Amino acid sequence: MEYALEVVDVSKKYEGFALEQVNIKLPRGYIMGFIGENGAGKTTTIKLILDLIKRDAGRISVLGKDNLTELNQVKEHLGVVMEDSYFPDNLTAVNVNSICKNIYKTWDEAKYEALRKQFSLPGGKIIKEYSKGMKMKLSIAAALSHGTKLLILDEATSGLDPIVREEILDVFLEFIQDEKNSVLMSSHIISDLEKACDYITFIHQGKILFSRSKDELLTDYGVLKCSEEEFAGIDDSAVKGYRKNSFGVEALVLKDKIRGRVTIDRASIEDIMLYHIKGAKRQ
Amino acid sequence: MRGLLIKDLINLKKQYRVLLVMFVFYIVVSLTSGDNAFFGGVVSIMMVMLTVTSMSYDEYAKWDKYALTMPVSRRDLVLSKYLLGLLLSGAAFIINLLYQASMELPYKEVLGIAFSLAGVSILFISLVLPFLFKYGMEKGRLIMMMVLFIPTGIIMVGAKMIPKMGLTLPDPDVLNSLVYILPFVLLIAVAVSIMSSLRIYRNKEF
Repeated sequence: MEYALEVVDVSKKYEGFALEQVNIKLPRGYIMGFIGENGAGKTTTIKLILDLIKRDAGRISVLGKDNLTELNQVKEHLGVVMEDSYFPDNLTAVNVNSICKNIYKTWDEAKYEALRKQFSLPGGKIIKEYSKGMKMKLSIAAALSHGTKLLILDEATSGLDPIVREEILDVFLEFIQDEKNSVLMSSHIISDLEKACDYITFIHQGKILFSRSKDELLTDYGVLKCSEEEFAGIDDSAVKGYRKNSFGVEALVLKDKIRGRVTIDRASIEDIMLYHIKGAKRQ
Repeated sequence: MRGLLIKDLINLKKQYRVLLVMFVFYIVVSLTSGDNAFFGGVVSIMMVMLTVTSMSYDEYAKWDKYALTMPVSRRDLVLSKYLLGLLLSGAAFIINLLYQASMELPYKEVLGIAFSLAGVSILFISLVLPFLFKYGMEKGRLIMMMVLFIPTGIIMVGAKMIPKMGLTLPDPDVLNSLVYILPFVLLIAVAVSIMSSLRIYRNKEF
C-alpha cells in the first residue's frame, strides 16, 4: 500500500514528557483522526512530522519523501493548518494571495478566490480584525489552494462553533473525494472525527494506544451493561476498562470475546477513548 | 524568498505613514538646527529598525512556524530578513542622498554622509539579527539596546578620557585612510553574521 504519511518508531524526549515509539501509517486517499487528551503528544507528533522540532529516534516519510532530507520536494503539496499560527496581522486575504503566489509554484489563484468567497472572507479586512473562525478559514483556504495532496490539521476545528466546524468539515470531505488526497487531523472534538474519519489513531501519555480503521474499532468494541455478578463472570481479556455505578457495571469490551446473553451497546469513539483513559482496569 | 519579502513589505504598511510624519518632523528639526547629518541618522535608524519590527510582527503571529510548512526553508527565512535590512538600508541611502544633495553641500560630503550612514545601518543589522534569531524579540530587544549603547558609550567616554590621560588622538589623516578598509570590515561582519544566524536558526525548535 502507498502511504501519504509514515511515522516509524519515532521518539522524542522532553523533561517530564516523552513520545515513545510512535507509529502511524496513513494510506493515500484516507482521512485519519488523531485523538488524545490535551498534552498527550498530538501537537508534538505533528511538529516532528513537519520537522519543526528534532526527533531523537525513528524515521518519518511524508508523501513518500524523507522528512529531514527531502521535505522541501513535497512542501508544494502539503497543506498545514495549526491552531495558533497565522499570517501576520496587517495582511488582508487579498495580500495572502499575492504572497502565496510568490511562494508556491503550484498556487491556484482561482481556487483560493473560490474558497475565500465560500468562507465569506472579506478581501480588504486585515487579519488583526478577524475572528478566530475567520483566521482558521483563511489558513484552510491557503492550505487547500496549491495542488495539495496531504492536509495536516492540528486542532483546526477546536474553538470554533458547530456551524463553522460543519462548514469546514464539508470542505475536507470534498477534498478527500479525490482518491489521491489524504488528511491527518488532530482534534479533541471526537464527534467531528467520528463523522469524517476512516482511521483513528489514539495517543495517550506519549504512546500510541491504537491506530486502526474506524469501522473495525466500532465492530470490535461494545459497551456492556450488566450487574456486578454477571461482570465477575466475564473473561479479563475481554474488558478494556469499566465503571461501576449504582445500577451495576458499564464496561468497554471486545464483543467477540463475550459469551452468553448480555446486552452490549454500540460503543462510540468517545466511549472507546474515555474507557481506555479513565476506566478502571482489570489487569 | 520573493514571497517572504513581499509579505514583510506589505505587513509594514502601517509603519510607512508613521515614518513619513516623523521624517517631516525631523526635516524641520534639522533645518532649524542646521545639522544636516542629524536627519540622515534618523532616517537610517528608523528605516533599518523596520526589519526588527517585521520580526516582532512575525513572532506575534507565530509566522515562522507556519512559513516552514510552506515551500520555504529555514535558510530562506533567515536570508529574507537580511535582504529586507539591506533593502531598507538602500532606501534610506537614497533618501539621504536626495536630502543632502538638496542642501547644496559639496558632492563629496553628500556621498560621505550617505555611505557612512548606510554602512552603520548594515553593521547594525549584522550585529543585531543573530541575537534576535537566538533569543526572540523580548530578550532580543534588550540585547539590541546593549549592542547600540555600549559601543556608543565607550566611544563617548573614550573620546573624553584619551586627552585627559595625556594620550593624543591619531592624526586625522591616519583616521581618514582607515575609511578605505571599512567596506571590507563591513563585508566580513555581514558574512559572519549571516553564518551565525543560519547556524542558530538551523537548530531552532518551534
